[in-house]
Amino acid sequence: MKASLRLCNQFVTLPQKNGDFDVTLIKNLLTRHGLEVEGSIQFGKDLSSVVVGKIEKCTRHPQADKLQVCEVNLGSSKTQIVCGAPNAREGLFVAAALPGSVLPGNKKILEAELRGVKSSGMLCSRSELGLPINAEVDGDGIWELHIDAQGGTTEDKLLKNLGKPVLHALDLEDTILDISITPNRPDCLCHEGIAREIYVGLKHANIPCEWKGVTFLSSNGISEKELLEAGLKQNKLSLADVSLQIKNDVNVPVFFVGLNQVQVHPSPAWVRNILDVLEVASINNVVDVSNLLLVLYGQPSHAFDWNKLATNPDKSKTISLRHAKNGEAFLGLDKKDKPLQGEDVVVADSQKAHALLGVMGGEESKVDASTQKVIIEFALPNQVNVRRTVRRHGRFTDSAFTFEKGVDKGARWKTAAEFLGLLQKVTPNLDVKQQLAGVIQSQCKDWRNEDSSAYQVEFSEKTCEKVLGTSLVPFAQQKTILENLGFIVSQNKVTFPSWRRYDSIGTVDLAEEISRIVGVDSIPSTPLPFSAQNTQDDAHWAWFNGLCDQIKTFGYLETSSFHFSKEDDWKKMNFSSPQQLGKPVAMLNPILQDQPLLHTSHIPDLLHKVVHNCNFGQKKGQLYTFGRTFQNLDKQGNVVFSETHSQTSNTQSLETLYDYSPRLGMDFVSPQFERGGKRPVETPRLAGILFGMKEEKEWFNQGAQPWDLYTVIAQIKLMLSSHNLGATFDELPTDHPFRPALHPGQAVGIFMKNQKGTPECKGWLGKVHPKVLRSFGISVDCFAFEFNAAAAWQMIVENQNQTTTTGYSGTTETQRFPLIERDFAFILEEKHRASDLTQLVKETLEKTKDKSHLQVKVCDVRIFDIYRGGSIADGKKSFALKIILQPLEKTLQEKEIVLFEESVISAAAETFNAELRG
Amino acid sequence: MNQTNNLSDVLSLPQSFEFSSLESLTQLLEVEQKKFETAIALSYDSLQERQVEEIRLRFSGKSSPLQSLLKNLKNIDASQRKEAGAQINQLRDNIYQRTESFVSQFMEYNEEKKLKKETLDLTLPLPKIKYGSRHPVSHVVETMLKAFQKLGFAVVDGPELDSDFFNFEALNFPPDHPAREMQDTLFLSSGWVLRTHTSNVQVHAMLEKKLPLRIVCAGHVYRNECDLTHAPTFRQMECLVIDKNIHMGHLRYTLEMFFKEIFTNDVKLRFRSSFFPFTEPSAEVDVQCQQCMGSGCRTCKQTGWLEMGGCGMVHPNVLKSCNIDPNEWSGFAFGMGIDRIAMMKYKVPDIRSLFEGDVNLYEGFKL
Repeated sequence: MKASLRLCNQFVTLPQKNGDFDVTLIKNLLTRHGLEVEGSIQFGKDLSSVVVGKIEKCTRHPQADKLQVCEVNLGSSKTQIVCGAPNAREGLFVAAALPGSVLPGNKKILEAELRGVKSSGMLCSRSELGLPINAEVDGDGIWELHIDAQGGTTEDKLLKNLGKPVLHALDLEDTILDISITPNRPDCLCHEGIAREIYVGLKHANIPCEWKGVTFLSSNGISEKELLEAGLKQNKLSLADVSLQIKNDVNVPVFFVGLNQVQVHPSPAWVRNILDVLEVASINNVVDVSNLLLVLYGQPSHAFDWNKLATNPDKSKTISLRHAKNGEAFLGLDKKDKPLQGEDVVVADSQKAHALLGVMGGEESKVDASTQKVIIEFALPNQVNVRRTVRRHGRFTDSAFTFEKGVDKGARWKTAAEFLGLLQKVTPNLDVKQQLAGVIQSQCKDWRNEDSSAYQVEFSEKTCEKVLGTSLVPFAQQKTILENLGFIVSQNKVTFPSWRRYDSIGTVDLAEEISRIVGVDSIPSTPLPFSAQNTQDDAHWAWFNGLCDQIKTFGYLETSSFHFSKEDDWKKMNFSSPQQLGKPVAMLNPILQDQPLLHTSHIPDLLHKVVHNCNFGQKKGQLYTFGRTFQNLDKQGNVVFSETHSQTSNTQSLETLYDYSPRLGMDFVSPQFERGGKRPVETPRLAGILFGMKEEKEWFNQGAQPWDLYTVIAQIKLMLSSHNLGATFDELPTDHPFRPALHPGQAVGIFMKNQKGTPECKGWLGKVHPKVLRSFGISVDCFAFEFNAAAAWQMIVENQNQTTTTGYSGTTETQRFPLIERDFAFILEEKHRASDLTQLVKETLEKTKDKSHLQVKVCDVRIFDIYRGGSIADGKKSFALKIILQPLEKTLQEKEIVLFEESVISAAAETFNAELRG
Repeated sequence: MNQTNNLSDVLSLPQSFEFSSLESLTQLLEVEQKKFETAIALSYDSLQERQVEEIRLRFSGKSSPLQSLLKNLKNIDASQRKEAGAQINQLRDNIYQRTESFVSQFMEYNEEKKLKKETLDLTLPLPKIKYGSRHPVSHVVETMLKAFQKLGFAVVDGPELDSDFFNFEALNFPPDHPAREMQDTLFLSSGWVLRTHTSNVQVHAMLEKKLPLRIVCAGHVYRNECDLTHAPTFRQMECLVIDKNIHMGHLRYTLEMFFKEIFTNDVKLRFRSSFFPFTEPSAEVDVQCQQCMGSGCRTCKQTGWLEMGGCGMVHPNVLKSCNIDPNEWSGFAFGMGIDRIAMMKYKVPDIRSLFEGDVNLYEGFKL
């Protein structure tokens, strides 16, 4: 809301400081009240070097036909300015921009020479000074300051102001506040509302001020009461024997006021000047009255040219308020011809639409110089309908803005009276009483005197204290504040004024009113009472956060994303469809056109981030992210939102989605509290990417070192083992949906045992497929992982529910006897994997331990070297194996150790035909 | 003199250890002593550890000449044997003791020399210890949650996709109310949205958890806006208290304690009346600018204050939507955006930087 302080000052005497309004005081006061002043403009201040001048002499430029050399009187001096405007002439009062002026659009005025003639400035048009233009009145030349219709003033006054700033001379200097109005306060979308807030604030602060109000009603005009009677009792309107009927198909209260004869002409300067500073274009007296009422009281209205509305064969006219036909034509005042839609509500004659109700009038029935008879529409359209129409057509108008926020019904009839009063004031020789042709209405009431019991609430000395913890000010003062705001205060009840009925209506609201006028800031602080209850944590939050803290220690940098996915990401990922990882959720109104979906995996985004880094020369790094991924499936796998653009049918099997199965999503809401039907699944995932080299060549190492799969497995294993999740790592199932994006020989599943003891895939890690890297344009190797944190959390919860203690799993005693360490080298066939051997050795050692009754703990069984070639036959390899045993009762004798050694050697020989080497 | 020759000379053994008189013994001892003096006069630098060992063995080993001389005592006349023995022993003690100190001094000298050689160039680049960083926004989130936990708040979590009921209706945003336009919404269907604020978690908590409530939550929220200062996805945090006789003074106290914790400083707060559909009265909370302490600077756009978030007493309609009797219970809520705070705290100039994953930038945070 742009508020002119000069205009506010018409309603209430504003406090002054140093000869101007005390802007700081007013700003602070409004901001405290909840009407945040976001900025203010000193209108005219930056144009102080554009001064009043008078052209004394005008001669043709010697070199150019269209230019004139003007001698301009600036009061105390004279200057020469070359001007191209055809209306520059001797004796004309002009706006002269002196050298050094900066005009709107950052146009700098300098001393210049135009075709050899010196020009010290520029004679300006209104538009060059940033003022609204009315081509019919202003022409296309320079501003003629003595013309009232151009917003000018008398020659006498201009003579006195020669050399003074133009906007000062024309009383156009003003301060404009830019105020942010919250949706509960449509009453503050006009100057009366802003002025009322200032008044209440000043009164509360004991700063002298007076409520003057602005009204145009006069004794020879028409009163609100007369209009009400004409509308509600007679309810008829005819102009020159042609009567008007209303056809109201949309249940919108509306009334029309008709005038038989109106002279349409430009508005006087005082009207134009008010509109100028608020950047509203002045059109003519009738339209300007309508605009002025909107600016002053927040009351929209619209005048139609009666003669331009179609007449029925029976010599009557019909105005319908109806829904538009789909595709119906309508030429708006914005000169745009956009086809209407069925949801739009129009004001139409018997042939076509003449207004989009509440939004915009029509070009074909507008009031212009040819207009004689007018009917003025005062409707109360449906707020939602107006809002939707505005958005649908992109036609944002001030009246629509006011309508959609809420118009004070109680002042509707009075506004019509003000319309007539103001019109009379700006139209010489108009006698509205004589010209009034009647009032016709549909579904209207005397809203001011409606039953207001619905807007009445209890109010007592306790009201404030209960909500605020303090009364802030004595009860009597509380009442005064409410009364000044327009509330009607009786014994123990308060009635909301008609303009405050779009806010919520309750006792609490009264406490709010008092607190905002006195200042919320003055409420003293009170310690919170002791609360014993602190066990309502959603424990997964801390656990997820712990995962992030831990992965970070391995060198990963946390990143964040929008959680959207690009339309072609799935192709780049080498997937067969966008639904590879479960159905993605589509936004109806995506903000980024190329990212219409919510992501199902973090990996594409991480790859984009790798691209970003590589593009800027950062060719290595470790990134991770933790956050939700989404699927258009509920936990049972049912599609939630109907898919309009999806080609494939819902045949995806949830089992083959593995860790991307919606069943492994997070439960954020208990089903019994659900509202709104099926819930799309949200799955928090931890994902990371390692790109480029692990280490560059440095002075202390042997050379650059690439990342390798084993390091990544080790990182994830360490992260998970500290949470006692017992993860195992093995080849990623061949039908796992992420497989196509991964190196076929380096794709690893992260498995955890379910309650039945079966390992389930909860995530994966691996080397990114070179095809994928190519399609992203990445030229360095990448390893990646993605882990379903919700699934892991689910396991933790289940483990907690079991009675067995699952805490720390390491050794619980300090070492008392020397460790036994033995190395072996076995030659076996290539087909045997490392774990085949280590698993066998572990089992054998355990068996030997049991058989021999020796108290020993098997600490470690691991392959520490692999050797091929040399003396080893083709198709075979040598595994160097280390075992570490910890005696628990006594130091072992050599023959006891041999027992273990021999059992290992013979087991390996028996099972794998392994041969002990050297 | 040639040191090598010298050494072999020194190490050479006498041709005979036989003596028959004190005179001939004295002669032998003098030769031995002379050799010894030459040996220990050798410079440490000319010797290697092996050679020093040879010297030690030559002069104080089990088969040193002095030991052989002792063995040959039997050959001398008994009357002179005592005297001869005394002479050999005297020299032997002397040589043994000095050999020991010669060897240990040599070792020490050598070690010092070696350590000196190992002196490093401290200006060489250091190996990189791999240690990542949390995202600045995540870090601020955790700091804030901890502050609230100290005040006895439980950390709760909720969905990011939610139905109209939880995101709007239960929070007193009636359908088609202009207040809905305060938050540009991303829609999934006519009844489902990407949550526009974390306040949906309030509703879930009020419905599902036991009263009294004292909760805090944080997470991603989504808006249909994207420009230089707005990302469509950002993070918010909010707290909610529902208890008996809660009033606005409690809200002020809680926020004072919270901001004191966050800024580790007694910060000045300012409350301005405002409007949010789910609270009444509602207020905006400003904190005195921590850059200029209120005198006005670029960070606070010369106002001396920084807008932190919105708060207010929970609207009775919200309580009713969550099956809570507003006559029995009351409460307050406070919420704020986190990205802006993180940008301010870590001097991130551009909101895009929060989402680009730029390794160079992020490595610097060390959070």
